[in-house]
Amino acid sequence: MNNSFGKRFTELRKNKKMTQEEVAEKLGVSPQAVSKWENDISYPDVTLLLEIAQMFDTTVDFLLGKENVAETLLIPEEKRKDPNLMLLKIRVSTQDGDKVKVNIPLAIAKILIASDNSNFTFGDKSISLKDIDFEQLLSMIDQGVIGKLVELETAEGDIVEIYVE
Amino acid sequence: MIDMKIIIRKRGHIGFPIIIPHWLFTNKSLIRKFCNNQLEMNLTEEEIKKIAKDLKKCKKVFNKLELISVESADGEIVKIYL
Repeated sequence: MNNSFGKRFTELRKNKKMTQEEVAEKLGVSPQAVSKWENDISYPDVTLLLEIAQMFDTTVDFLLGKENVAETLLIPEEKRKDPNLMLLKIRVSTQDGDKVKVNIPLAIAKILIASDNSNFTFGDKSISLKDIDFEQLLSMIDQGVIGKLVELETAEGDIVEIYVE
Repeated sequence: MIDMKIIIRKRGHIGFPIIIPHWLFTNKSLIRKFCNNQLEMNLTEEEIKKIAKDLKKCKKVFNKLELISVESADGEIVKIYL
């Protein structure tokens, strides 16, 4: 996850294959202003945030740095992000207070899942993800589903969440 | 290209980074040894080749990606950045 607004903005602009000049023209600001946003020197006016989010097919929450897409969305084919730019995010919070975050680029996750080696285990309690049908998850992602894909709580109180963004 | 960084920190102590050059973690021979020997994953040569290629690509696309972050209840932190 890119931590600054500028980095997120730059990534979204590049994903859309737009130049700073094109973005500036669409938003009615100068290219220098866009350059300043990307370098975290200044920030866009709050009234532009929704327009920026719509232009990049994202949410204002994401622009402002909210880490997880809380909801599950089905994205139409023409608006889907390049799968090579997506991340499979696994979050595990154990009852003991341990927290594990794994962010795997989707391209690499696909290889691991295809090779039938998706047996991730965490800690002594061996929270195993082998029972999760990752092939089914990949199929959902291919069909345009993004956001939270899995949320489960084990009998011991451990929580596992899987997102794709 | 910026290298892979592993940060280990214990509560009350100063963390230290371990820098792994990018040519090392995208080396097919090391990927084979790590995945197949250490993790017993039985990846084929084709899969190893694709992982090495995709790692290089991901490094460019997701620069400074937080690949793994582990925070234990007693305050130990391990983070791996790609």
